[in-house]
Amino acid sequence: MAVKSPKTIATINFKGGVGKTTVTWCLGDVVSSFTDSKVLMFDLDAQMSLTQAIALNEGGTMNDKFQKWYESSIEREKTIFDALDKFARPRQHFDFPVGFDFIYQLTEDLHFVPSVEDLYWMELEVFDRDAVKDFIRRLLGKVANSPKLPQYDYILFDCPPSFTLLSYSVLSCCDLILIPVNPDYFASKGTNLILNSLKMRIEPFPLPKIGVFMNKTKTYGNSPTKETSFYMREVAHVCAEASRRQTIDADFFESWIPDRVGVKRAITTGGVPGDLLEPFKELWTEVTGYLS
Amino acid sequence: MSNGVFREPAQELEHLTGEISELKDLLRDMSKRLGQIERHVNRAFNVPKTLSAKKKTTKKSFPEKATIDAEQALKIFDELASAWNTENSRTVEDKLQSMTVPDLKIIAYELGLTFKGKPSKKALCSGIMGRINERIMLSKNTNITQPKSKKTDNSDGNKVASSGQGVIFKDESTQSVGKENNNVAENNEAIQPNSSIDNVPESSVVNST
Repeated sequence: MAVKSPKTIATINFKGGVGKTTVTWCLGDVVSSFTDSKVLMFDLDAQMSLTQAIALNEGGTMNDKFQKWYESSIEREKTIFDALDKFARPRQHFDFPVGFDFIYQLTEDLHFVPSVEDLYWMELEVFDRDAVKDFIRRLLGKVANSPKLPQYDYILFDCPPSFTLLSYSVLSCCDLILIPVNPDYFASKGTNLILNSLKMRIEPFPLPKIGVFMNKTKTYGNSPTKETSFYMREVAHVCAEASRRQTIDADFFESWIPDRVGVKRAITTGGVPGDLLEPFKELWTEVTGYLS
Repeated sequence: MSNGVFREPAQELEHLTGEISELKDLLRDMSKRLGQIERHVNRAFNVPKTLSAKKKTTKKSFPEKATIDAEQALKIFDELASAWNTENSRTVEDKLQSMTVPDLKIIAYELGLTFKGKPSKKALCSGIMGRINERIMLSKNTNITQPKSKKTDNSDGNKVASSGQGVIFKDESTQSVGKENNNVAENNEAIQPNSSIDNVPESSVVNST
C-alpha cells in the first residue's frame, strides 16, 4: 500500500476578520461530510478562534469531551507548540510520535489539531527562522507515516493574519494558498500584498498555487451587489496582474460565499448552515479543479 | 371614558370608529362634488392646466436619457482608470465633467456607489474618482524591505523543496502506515514507504541548527 500525500491547503489573509477560521471549518465540514475524504484541520492561529469555537457548545457551554482531551494533550506535552519546541531544539532528533493524543477526532472523517496560547510567544522563543521552515513538512511526514492515524486526503490550515514562522513553514510546503477576501477596500488590499510579496518571502521554495475568492458577499436577490461586484472585478484584476508580472499561479475563483449571520454559529452548532452548503460545495469543486 | 355614557372602553371605541367612518364618507362626497365643480368650471371657462402640472408633464415627457449601457459604463471606467495612470488626474476629471448626469449615474451605479437623495454632478464625479483611486491603490505594491535571503548570499539552491506537487512526507522514525482505523494499534499494517515521497535528504533528518 502506497503512502498517499494529502493535498494541503492554507487559508490566509493578512487582514483579520475576513473569515479565515469560518471558511476553514466550513470546508472541513463540507468535505468530510459530503465526500469520501478524510480531513485534518490545523489551527495555527495563536488567537485560537477555531479551537475555542470547537471547545464551546451551542449556547455557550463547554464541550466537556474536547476540554478533557485538550487538557490531557497539554499535560502530556502533545500540542503543536510542544512539537515545534522539540523540532527547533538544536542538533536533536525530532522525536515526536503523533497519534490521537495530538489529533482530536471531531467526527470519523474530520480530525483537528488545536492551537495553544504559547504560539503567541513562539517568535520570541525561536530565533532561527531556518530552524522552523521545515517544521510543518516534517510534522506532516509523521502524520502520513503514523500507524496510529488514518490516511488523510486533505489537510487544512487556519493561518494567523500575519506572516509568522508557522505561516512561513506552512506556506513553503502547501499545495494551495486560499485567500478569502471581503467586499471592502482593506480586505481586498491584503490580496495584493500577499500576491506580490510572498514569492520573494518564501524563496527558495516555489510559490504554491494561490486561489482567491469573495467571502461575506453582500447580496441583492441571489446575486452579489454592485459594490461587491466592483471589488470582485478589482481583486480578479489584481490576481491577473500579479500572475503576469510575478509569474505566479494566482486565480480568482468564480464561486463566492454569501454573507450570513448564522455562519458564525456554524462551528458551535456543529454544521454549516443549510443555505451555505451549496456555495461551499461549489467553492470546493473549484478548489479541487484548480488543484488537479 | 366620557361622562359615564359608555360602560366599557370598547363601546366608546366602537362609537368613535363609527363617527370617523361617517366623517370620512362625508369628506369623500365633498371631494367628489368639488371635483365635479372644478371640471365643470374648467370646461365652461376653458381654463388651462396649472403651471406646476405643466412642469411635471414636461419632465415626464422629456426625461434626460443615458446614452450608455452597463457594459459601456464599466468600459469607460476602465479607460478612465488607465488614463489616470498614463495621463493625469486633471484629464480624468475633465472627461468626467464633460459627461452627462445620466451617464455618470449609470457608471456610479455599476461601481456600486450609493448616494443620499439625488446626487449632484459633483458628487457623482467625486464618487467615481474615489473608485478610480481605489483601483490604483489596490494594484499598488511597495516593498521597501527585502528578505534576508535576498540581501545575503543566496547560494543554498539545494534547499529548494517540492511544492505545489504535494508535500514531501518522510518520517525517519517510522516505516509503517496506518489504515483508516481509529484503533489502529490493534490493526497495523506495516508497509514500505513510497519511493516518490521518500526523497528528503538524510541531512535534514537531524536538524542542522
